[in-house]
Amino acid sequence: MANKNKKNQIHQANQRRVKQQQYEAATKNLSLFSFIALGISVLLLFLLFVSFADVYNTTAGVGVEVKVSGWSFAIAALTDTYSSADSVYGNLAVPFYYYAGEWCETLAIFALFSVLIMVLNIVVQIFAAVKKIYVLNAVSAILSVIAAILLIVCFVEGLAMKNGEILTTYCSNNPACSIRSFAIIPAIVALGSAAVSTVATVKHAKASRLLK
Amino acid sequence: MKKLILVLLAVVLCVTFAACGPRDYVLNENTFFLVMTNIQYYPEQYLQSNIEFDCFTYELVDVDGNSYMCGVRKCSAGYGCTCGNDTIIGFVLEYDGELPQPRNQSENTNDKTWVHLSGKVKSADKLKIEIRSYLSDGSIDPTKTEQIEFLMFVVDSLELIEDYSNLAYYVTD
Repeated sequence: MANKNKKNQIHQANQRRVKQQQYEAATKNLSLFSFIALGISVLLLFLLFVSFADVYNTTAGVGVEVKVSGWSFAIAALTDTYSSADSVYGNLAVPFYYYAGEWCETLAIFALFSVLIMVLNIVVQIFAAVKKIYVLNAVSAILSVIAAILLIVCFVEGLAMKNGEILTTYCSNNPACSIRSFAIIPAIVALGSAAVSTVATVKHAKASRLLK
Repeated sequence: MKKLILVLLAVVLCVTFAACGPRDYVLNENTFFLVMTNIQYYPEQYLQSNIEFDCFTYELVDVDGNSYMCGVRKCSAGYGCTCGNDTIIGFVLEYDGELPQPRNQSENTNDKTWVHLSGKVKSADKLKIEIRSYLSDGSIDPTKTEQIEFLMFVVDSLELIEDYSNLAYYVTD
């Protein structure tokens, strides 16, 4: 009887060890996913340098007339400064804020929140990758989706500036001129980061089932 | 320790108040257009600031024959968008002395009367000047007039610029 119990204990211990080995094998590359998501999130911060609103003139040799980056909008919201000529704000003061003030303020607030979410996401991803706390990948995926939504709103707000007076007054209704926004690029990349974090989350969930 | 904290606090307060005080501007070739444009749109921000810049003198004559001496550079209408006709950007000058007479003011040449000015924007209210309209070829249309608005600039000091080879009469972003 005692022998049978001992055999059972050994068998269970072996099973646990095998499961643990299977779990470790399954989670072996999860850190890589976390690092990839982290890399994409850092790239996102650089992508905020793209124009969140610009005036483009199709006339040969002209191109972009004036532009404001995502960072400029975020800093403007942070400092509540929209009419400064400082280079950090790009062409925000003129013509964007002067002729489309409400759109600029809304866009700036969303840009600032997206920056805050991105920074928080990077902190979460660092913990997920370095400390191997894989459940944080789910949090990261959610944060990435939130950042993407905020950036899509920025994109829409940027394009909506055509309803202000920039094209009619500042551009004298010149048909060659249009307002563009590239905020959709970081939004797509944020969704890419969310996809990587989601894959890591699913893989971790599958691996966790092995321990049961 | 207490003294050190007080000194640090004093330094922080001094820096804070210094940063909040009126800021002066020295416009160069890189910043002229951006700052000058900003002054035209948000003049109230610059009323307390001393502003230095290089420009050429330009005489505006209204429909009644009144003459206004300006310090300007040429740019496109809309102060930045190259979608309109050319115009001038700058100030009507108020100077307690003699302003140098313009030379080739409307010609597309750098050979103009260049001056270095230092002073302050007089008021956020713009001076309205009624002038004859220009045709697309640059000639005056005798049948039409238009109203242009200029900020006034009180000149504290003026220096004639002899070597203006590095200055652009036409400014863009």
